[in-house]
Amino acid sequence: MNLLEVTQLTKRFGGLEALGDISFSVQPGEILGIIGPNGAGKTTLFNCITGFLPFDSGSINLDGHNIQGKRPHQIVNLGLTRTWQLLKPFFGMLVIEAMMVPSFSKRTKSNLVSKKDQQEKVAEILNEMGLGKILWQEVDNLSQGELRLLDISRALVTCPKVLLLDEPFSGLSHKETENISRVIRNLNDQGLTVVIIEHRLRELMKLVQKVIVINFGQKIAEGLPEEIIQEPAVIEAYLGKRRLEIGVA
Amino acid sequence: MNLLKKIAPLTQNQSPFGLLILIAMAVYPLISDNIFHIEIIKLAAIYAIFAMSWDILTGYTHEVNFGFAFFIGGAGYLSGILSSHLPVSLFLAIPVAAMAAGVSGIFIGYVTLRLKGPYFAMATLAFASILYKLSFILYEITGGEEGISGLDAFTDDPTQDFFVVWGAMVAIYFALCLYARSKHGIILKAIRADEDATQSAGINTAYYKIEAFAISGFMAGIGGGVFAHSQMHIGPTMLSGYLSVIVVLLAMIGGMGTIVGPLLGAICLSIVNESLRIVEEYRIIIYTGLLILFIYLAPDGWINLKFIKGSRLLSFIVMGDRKPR
Ligand SMILES: Nc1ncnc2c1ncn2[C@@H]1O[C@H](COP(=O)(O)OP(=O)(O)OP(=O)(O)O)[C@@H](O)[C@H]1O
Ligand SMILES: [Mg+2]
Repeated sequence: MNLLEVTQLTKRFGGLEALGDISFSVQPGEILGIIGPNGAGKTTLFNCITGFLPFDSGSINLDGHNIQGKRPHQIVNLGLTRTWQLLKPFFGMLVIEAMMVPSFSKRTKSNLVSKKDQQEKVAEILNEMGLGKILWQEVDNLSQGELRLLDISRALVTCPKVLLLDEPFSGLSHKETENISRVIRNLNDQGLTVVIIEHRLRELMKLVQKVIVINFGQKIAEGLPEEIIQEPAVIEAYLGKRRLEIGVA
Repeated sequence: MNLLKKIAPLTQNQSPFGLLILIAMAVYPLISDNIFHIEIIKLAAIYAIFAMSWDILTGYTHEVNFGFAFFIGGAGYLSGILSSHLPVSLFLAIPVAAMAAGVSGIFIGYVTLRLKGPYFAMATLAFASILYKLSFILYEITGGEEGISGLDAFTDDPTQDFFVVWGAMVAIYFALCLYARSKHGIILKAIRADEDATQSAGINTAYYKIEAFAISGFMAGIGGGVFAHSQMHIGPTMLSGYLSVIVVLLAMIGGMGTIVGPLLGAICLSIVNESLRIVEEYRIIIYTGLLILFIYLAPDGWINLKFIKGSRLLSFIVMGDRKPR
């Protein structure tokens, strides 16, 4: 059974069709990559799936729940959460306070009943991310890289079944990218399903099992990473001359 | 790593400075029997209730409530009317009026949920203006411009009266500190930083905003009721835009989002204001000028001044913050 199933999703902004008839599905335990040029509609797709934007037609099914009309926090509590391409940090708070916010969600409280379990979970995630040392710093003083790690950590505290990552590598150093890739792989080994939007294809292709390509709101290709980079339509729309640089391992 | 121990300072610490203010206010009437001075600190305590109650909504969400007189005056009138027209004790009338203010908070919070910035401010202003006008239209019950005089007093001794007001202020201070340091306050701060991110943390932000509105309204309602009965009078000035603006200024100057800041701001500035009565003709000009000067010099408020936040010792004394390491 599919964990996440998007069927003929259409979203218009006035005259602009940001998403046209998009369909795809994600199996439990899978890592799916979504690529496409700037303005293709990738973030809009995430916004529709996570309840931040209403869509015009089609349907989205999460683990047997139709999530149309559900509010963002309800969808998180059903087990699907996201990170943000444009970071939305909790400025004005300490890192530890920022990490406590998702632990107050219904889902975290029902998955980790005791306060102690919740706190251990938070500590575990922060250590995994390499953020253990900055627990008592103000979010305002963190680097771009640390903010991105904190955003992913925040999402993980809600005990998701499906995690949507919107360009998790942007603004990160090579080392930080490696670190996040390792964390994602670990989580995936433990059963977490992941959907990643990413422009840095070299890193992405190493991570994902399946890729879909979006251009002008249309799904133009779907397949294994090594198939995708051969696809003429994809090369034309997105990869262009950079094809040779990708070098899928 | 034992996180439980690490989090403890966040929930337990009290601001030593805040406690000092509360104690100093209680000690003064014990060493002095200058009724005039006691009246002044009583009024200061009432303004502190207003400023702190305002802070729990606006200081923690940064949506500026510009119509706070709605709750203060609304509850003041309701309590006054209940206790003078009906055989109801003021000790019942005030809580009932405060509950009504809290329920209106839920209503206004719901209606203004999607409004942000100036739109939110205008909406709150509008609600207060409606009530202000109503106080004239319904003059048969409200007494119109004159208001209602001869309300029941708490006691017939000014010092005892002061301690009733002081007690209410202390209770509200501790209740709000507790709330602000609990999960509720943390969530409000997260909403202030970014509402979308808070929702994607699985939090029903609408609920917490409305809850803060209700609590802010309820506490202001207690303040309004206490004000009315301690003055034994209620009039349209308690619903006026001037009162709303003063509350905003007191809390901003003290330092929004800290509870202790608005306490400090309200106490100090109200005492200054009352002391200026010796030059009554110029009082409003000097006082308002002073408020503007403070906003200009320290836009984030006294408590949030850089040199206080930057120093471990000062931030412990003022805020009760005790960061490990
Ligand atoms: N809230 C909105 N209102 C109107 N138009 C929007 C809105 N959000 C996105 N768009 C438009 O929809 C299109 C798709 O935008 P989207 O952000 O989904 O692209 P993207 O694939 O995420 O691009 P990038 O790689 O640059 O992040 C763009 O033309 C964008 O201008
Ligand atoms: Mg995008």
